[in-house]
Amino acid sequence: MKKILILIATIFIGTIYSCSKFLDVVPDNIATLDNAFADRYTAERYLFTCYSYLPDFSSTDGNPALNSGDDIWYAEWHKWKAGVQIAKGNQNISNPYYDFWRGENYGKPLYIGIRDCNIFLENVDNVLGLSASEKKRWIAEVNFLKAYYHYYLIRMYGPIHIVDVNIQVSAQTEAIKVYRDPVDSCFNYVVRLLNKAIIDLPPVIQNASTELGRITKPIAMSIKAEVLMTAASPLFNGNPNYAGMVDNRGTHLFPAAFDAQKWEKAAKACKEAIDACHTAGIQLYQKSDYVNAFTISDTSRQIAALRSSVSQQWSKEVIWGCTGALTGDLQYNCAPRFYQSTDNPVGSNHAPTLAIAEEFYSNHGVPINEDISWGYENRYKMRQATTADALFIQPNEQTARLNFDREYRYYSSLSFDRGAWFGNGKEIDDRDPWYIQNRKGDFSSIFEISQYSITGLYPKKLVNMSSVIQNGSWFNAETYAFPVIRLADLYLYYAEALNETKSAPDADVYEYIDLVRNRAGLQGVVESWLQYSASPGKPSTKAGMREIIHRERLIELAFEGQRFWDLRRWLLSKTYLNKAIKGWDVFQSSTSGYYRVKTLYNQSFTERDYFWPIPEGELIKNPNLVQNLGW
Amino acid sequence: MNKNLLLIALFLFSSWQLMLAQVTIVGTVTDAKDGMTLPGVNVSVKGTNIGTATDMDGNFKLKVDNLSATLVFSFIGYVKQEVPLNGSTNVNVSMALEVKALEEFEIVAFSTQKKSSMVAAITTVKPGELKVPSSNLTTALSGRVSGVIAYQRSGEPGQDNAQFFIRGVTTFGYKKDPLILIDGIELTTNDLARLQPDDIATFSIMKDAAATALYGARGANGIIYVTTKEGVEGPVHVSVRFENSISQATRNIELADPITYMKMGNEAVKTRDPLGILPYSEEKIEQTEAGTDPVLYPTTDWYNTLFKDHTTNQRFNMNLSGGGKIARYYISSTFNQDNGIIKVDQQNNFNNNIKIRQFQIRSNLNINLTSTTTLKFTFNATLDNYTGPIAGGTDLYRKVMLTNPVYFLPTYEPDMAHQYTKHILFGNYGKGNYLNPYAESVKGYKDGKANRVLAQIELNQDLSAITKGLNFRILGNGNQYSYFDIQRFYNPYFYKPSVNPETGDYILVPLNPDAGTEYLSYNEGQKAMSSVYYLEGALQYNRTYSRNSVSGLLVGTMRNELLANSGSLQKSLPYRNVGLAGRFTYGYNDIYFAEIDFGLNGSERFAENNRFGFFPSLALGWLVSNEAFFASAKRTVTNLKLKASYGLVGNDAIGGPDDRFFYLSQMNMDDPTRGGVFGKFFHYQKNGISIDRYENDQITWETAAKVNVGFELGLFDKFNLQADFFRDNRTNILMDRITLASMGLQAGVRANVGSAIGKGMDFSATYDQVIGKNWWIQTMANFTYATSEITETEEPNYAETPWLSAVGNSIDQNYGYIAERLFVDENEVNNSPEQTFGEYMAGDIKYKDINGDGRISALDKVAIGFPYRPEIVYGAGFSMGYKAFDCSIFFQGLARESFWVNPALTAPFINADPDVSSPYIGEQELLKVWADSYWSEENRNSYALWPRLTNTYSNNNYQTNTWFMQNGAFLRLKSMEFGYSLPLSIISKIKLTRCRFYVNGTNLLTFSGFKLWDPEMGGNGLGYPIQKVINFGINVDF
Repeated sequence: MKKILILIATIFIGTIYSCSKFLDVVPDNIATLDNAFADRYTAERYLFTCYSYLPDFSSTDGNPALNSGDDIWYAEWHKWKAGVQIAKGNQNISNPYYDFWRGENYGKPLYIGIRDCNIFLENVDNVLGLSASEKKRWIAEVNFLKAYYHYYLIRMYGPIHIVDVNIQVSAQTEAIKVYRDPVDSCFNYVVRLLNKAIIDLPPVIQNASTELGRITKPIAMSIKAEVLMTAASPLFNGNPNYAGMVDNRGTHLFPAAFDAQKWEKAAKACKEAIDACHTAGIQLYQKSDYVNAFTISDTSRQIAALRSSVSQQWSKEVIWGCTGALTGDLQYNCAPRFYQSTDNPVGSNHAPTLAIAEEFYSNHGVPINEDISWGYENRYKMRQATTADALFIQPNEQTARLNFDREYRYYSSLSFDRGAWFGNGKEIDDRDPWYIQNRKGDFSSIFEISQYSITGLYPKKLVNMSSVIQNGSWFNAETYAFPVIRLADLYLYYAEALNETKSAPDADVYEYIDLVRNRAGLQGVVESWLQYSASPGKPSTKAGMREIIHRERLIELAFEGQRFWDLRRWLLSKTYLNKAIKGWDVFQSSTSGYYRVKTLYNQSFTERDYFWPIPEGELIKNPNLVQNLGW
Repeated sequence: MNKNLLLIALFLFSSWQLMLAQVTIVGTVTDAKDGMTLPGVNVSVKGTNIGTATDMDGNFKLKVDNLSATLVFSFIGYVKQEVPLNGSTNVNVSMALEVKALEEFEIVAFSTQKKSSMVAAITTVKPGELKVPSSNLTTALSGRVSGVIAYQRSGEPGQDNAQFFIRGVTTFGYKKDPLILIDGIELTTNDLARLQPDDIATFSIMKDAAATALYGARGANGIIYVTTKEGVEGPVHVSVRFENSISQATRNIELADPITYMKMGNEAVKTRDPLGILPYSEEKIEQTEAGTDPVLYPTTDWYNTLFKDHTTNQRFNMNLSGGGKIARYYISSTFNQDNGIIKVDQQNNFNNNIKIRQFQIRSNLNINLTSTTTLKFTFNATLDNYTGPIAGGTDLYRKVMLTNPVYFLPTYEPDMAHQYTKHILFGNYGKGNYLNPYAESVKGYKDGKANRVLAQIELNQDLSAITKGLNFRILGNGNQYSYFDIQRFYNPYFYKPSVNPETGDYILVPLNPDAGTEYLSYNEGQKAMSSVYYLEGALQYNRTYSRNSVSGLLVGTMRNELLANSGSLQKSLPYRNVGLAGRFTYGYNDIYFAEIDFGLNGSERFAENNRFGFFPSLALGWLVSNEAFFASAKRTVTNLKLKASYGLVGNDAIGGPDDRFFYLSQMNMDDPTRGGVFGKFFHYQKNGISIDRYENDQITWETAAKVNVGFELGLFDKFNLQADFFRDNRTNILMDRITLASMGLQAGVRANVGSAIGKGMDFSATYDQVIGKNWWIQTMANFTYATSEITETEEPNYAETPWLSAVGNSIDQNYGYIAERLFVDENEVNNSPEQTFGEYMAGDIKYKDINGDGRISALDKVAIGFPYRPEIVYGAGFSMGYKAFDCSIFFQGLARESFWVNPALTAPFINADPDVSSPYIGEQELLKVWADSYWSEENRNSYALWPRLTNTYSNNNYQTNTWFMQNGAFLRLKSMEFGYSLPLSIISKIKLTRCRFYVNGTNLLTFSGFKLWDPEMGGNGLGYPIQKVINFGINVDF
């Protein structure tokens, strides 16, 4: 019996011992966070990871500013698009569209991005073999990204929770129940981070073949200008509707009163950014910058240059071209069909609304409803084009008067039925361009329920001159880095900020807006209004000039994703986004039928729509978060 | 048992020798049950080696020395009888079938126990009850085995495993189903499904802690324990079974006719947007209705285009057994063929229908090496050969539902231009980018193989030399599973008809002349391999000292599994379990029993400090009917036993199957979704880094504290009732912590914070009666009730909105909105609480504002309906026989289950393809029930079955809500069987011992309030339907 007990005991102990050995199946070198910062190469991956949370600026399913407003409309088939849902007023709290808070419904998870930035900043010192200068630059880039993600959230949600340092993964339930920080603190925090980043960022990218698209000093300074512009604007600066917004501790989340200082700061930042851009060689893209081997008219060169200022690869005007999301898909969605075939190589569904077509100036550089000689009342009537119009409109064809006698940006930004389309494989002779045929049954018209422009208009400026439809069946897009911010944008910011800081506009205010106008082949503000407008004194008053600058921005930056945010920060969305969305009647084949204005939707925008709702699920989990007003 | 066998062998041996004697005894041996004569029975004289055997007619002649001798009658499978001659020379004996020795012993963890001394809650099923006309054993479980909650959701061959849970589900972890042990080896549900009932010796369900504690870390969800047959000493015995069955869907889905489809399709657009473009012109509707030109105005019944209405399946099993003193064998081979109901196009020379051919070989060999040492070899190979449609049958059903019936025909007859075209002219629409399910079905096939090969060796050493009753056993097993499939297909050519304006004939316009191919291309599909090694050593002690019986068991186990195509480094590391378990039992006078069990288990998934878990249990039993005071009642109450057990069991299969090592973080160092591109020409690209799991070394076992109280009652030796009541306290359930988006975490944070209670009862009752000489009847009934309740869970503070809390609800509870009715008009829409799910108008579903905040949002979700797994499963039936005829009927049902008709997947006109990458546009079919009752502007029925039509996704209506909730309860005639055995007098002439013909059917009748599809399919009703089977079989033994 004793023997047995010993035997049993031996087996028992032996088993236990071998058991724990047996269960050690994990070898060393399992990838953990330390590996991510082991050397320069993996750390670079982490740097790229930090970049990866940048919104897909060029994607119609990634950038809410491209299609959630009143400027772009889609055929019914695309109803599910997040942008369309927001544009129709269907935003909701249960499962918000473009939810950048949680990273759902086409929104990027920006808070995850911020956490990754923090992890990078915490660990980058451990990386072996990383030179001090490169480390500095990387830290600056990540600080910029961290600031930008915060800024992007602030613009959407107003006051947000700032994450300067990561909360522990194992933090207890109470510790994670954070508060929203007052919006001024949020802006200040972002600016502080940007200031920190600006010091160590390179003024220009030297190694263009591998680094173009990375953050530079001009980018950071321009974004700083944009952040300060946003903070100074009526939405955030003394907005009476939000002055009473408090959380459960009684903290006021919005400033109570207007602060004129904010405009001063913004103006200063704009000027500094402009100077930095100039130093870095960033200039407005002029007519002479457009290179074409063939002899073409000056007019065509002008239009081509305006188009190229946005959609040429690395146009000299672009301050920040985003390489994360390329524009192939965007161009696919913008380009019309050029000729008859059994297939449709392009989507053609990203359709500008009629309101945008009416927004562009007349050829005199003033609004068409102010232009004393333009004939605003007859804009929907027919007019026959002659050979003199061949650079704009197909000769001997009828189209709406709206398409005649407009500024060059109208023809460089938009395309319409019977309109000329220069480029796309036809660059030899500007007298022989493509002409869009868009009435029902024509080759550019509805091809399938999913592939047509519902308004009859196309955002031409977003399509690169060299993108080509091959054999009628394949669209070969010449991709470009989508401009997140470009110099004209900054000039107009500066003009706007200056106008706000002065009691009445002066030459300083006119200088930068006129630079933009002159580039577009227009005279300066004062001259144009004086000569052609029904209200010639408009540029001389602060309010009049404000309106002019607003309109200039809306025209110059149309379809680039600025309008959506601009209208909000100006508190004008409620005015603009409460109108009928209109287009041509694209289901008609007759001229008279087609040029009947058709109402596509009656938009409604209420006070609450100025900010995104915080997802309800987050509020349930954290009662310390206060929901935005009206949601 | 071994002793018996030895004796039999001894008598067999002695019967060879005949001796001279003075007196001749004659007689006949018959079967006690049916009165048939028994040939081949051994007859011997006790105490001598004189003997003979009965002839073909059961007669024998034997010479004995004197008439005071005693004759011994023995025959395999029958109870041995000793008959004293007492002067008689004519002896007629009727022999009773031996109640199998194994039935007296029950399988318990790692061992067997005498049935009377068992105190653990273990249900044993006669293998015969598991015989169903299906190649899938799991489909037989429902209602036949008490303690098992089982149901089947799909009828697709190869995908038709029933889901089963022992005593319901009491965990939130990924592994909810029981541990499956076949001959002691942990295998998978598929292996259980492939087992042949012919090969099964015992089938047991281990339910309580006393039964499962020895399996410590893996036993918390109960255990299914199966042993296969072994050879019995004797001449070769062959049993052959062949079955051929016809199967068809129990119920098919009814769709609306194409004209209604088009009219409602137009309405769906118009009712939402008066300016919308109507999909169908008046002309198309009229022409289609007139049916003048079926090519230009097609209507297609896609269900009938793709599917046949029935199919046939074959099953064949043959087994041989026998052996001598040294070795015994059991060898069985099986061939099953299951076919699907998918049509094949004659123009293809391959078979795209589902066809599973399954081969199985099993060989169990027992060898006596010495008088104390036995060796057992087991070899088993299961080979599945599959051919079938590329994405499977269920997918085709789904595709049919996604296809517009009036856009095109499945295929077109060749027109003039395509007279010599070799490929099939498939129909399509638009640019050829619409879904043509027929093309998807016949364009190719999948060729797949799944093999499991298993080899096992077991050495048993009797250590009586050391001390009496001591025994040592060592078992080694290796098995390997492999799976691969290959898809071969062409790209279909699509055409659409167009009228030739000159002739008026139609011509076919090719839609994808560049993309189509006449030749096949191929895809390599899934490949999976796994290899398992298992080692078990056990020391066992079993002894009875006068009235005290004592037994002890100590067993050590080790298991190692490696996956070939695991998908990640962490998952590629070996999966290991190691355990030491023990049992000590004590019985006093066959009246009082006590048992202590423990399992000490280690799992590699946890950090070193949490790696081992200790799981003890205690069980007590009282066999009242053996008490002296009970003697007077024992005639009536033949058996009465009370028992109770309490213990802990663990579960290491927590979290998800991808969570290999909770204490390690899991990084993805090469994540393309987190990468970046830079450079002038956008060429400098690098992937990023992401985190799939945060490290947490605190995570440990989920623990179940199981209580079981039960009794066994036997009356008149005919009626038997076994009932158990249980309660299962689960703690340390791993669950997600609350995290806020603002923390920026990429993966959930988890902790062992959940707890739940499972409780219920199960019972089984049988009643057997032999009436007169020719009649016998056996009845049985089973009932299982298992419910669960969450007692602790990580959730926000719901003090003010208690209806949101999961505490107190079943684990399988569904939450959703209470649908009041459909909105009557716009006025009501404007004056009702705002619904926050997106667009809605009159005729859409109106939800109840639970918290009264004037808004319907996630705060208004409440627990709705019964759990989605049934809480009650029951079955009852009887078998009866008259002479050579037998018949059995079995009913089965389940109750307390709710399921949902998925509104998005049945919403007409929308493209609800969950496969977002699908290149095809789908437009969903219209169910007849919806067409018969829907809200329309003309008929504003607020209680219509379907809300206002729409041709887009209606987020408002597709929320989980009570509108689409269904009661899943049903009762069905699960099976019915008639059999006839040819009389022995006939078949014995051709040396057969049994020849039985039978016809049976399954799923013959269903009683349920739900009529859209088979209610057992639950929310999966649009998939491959459950099959009704009529089966013809023959079973021959010789």
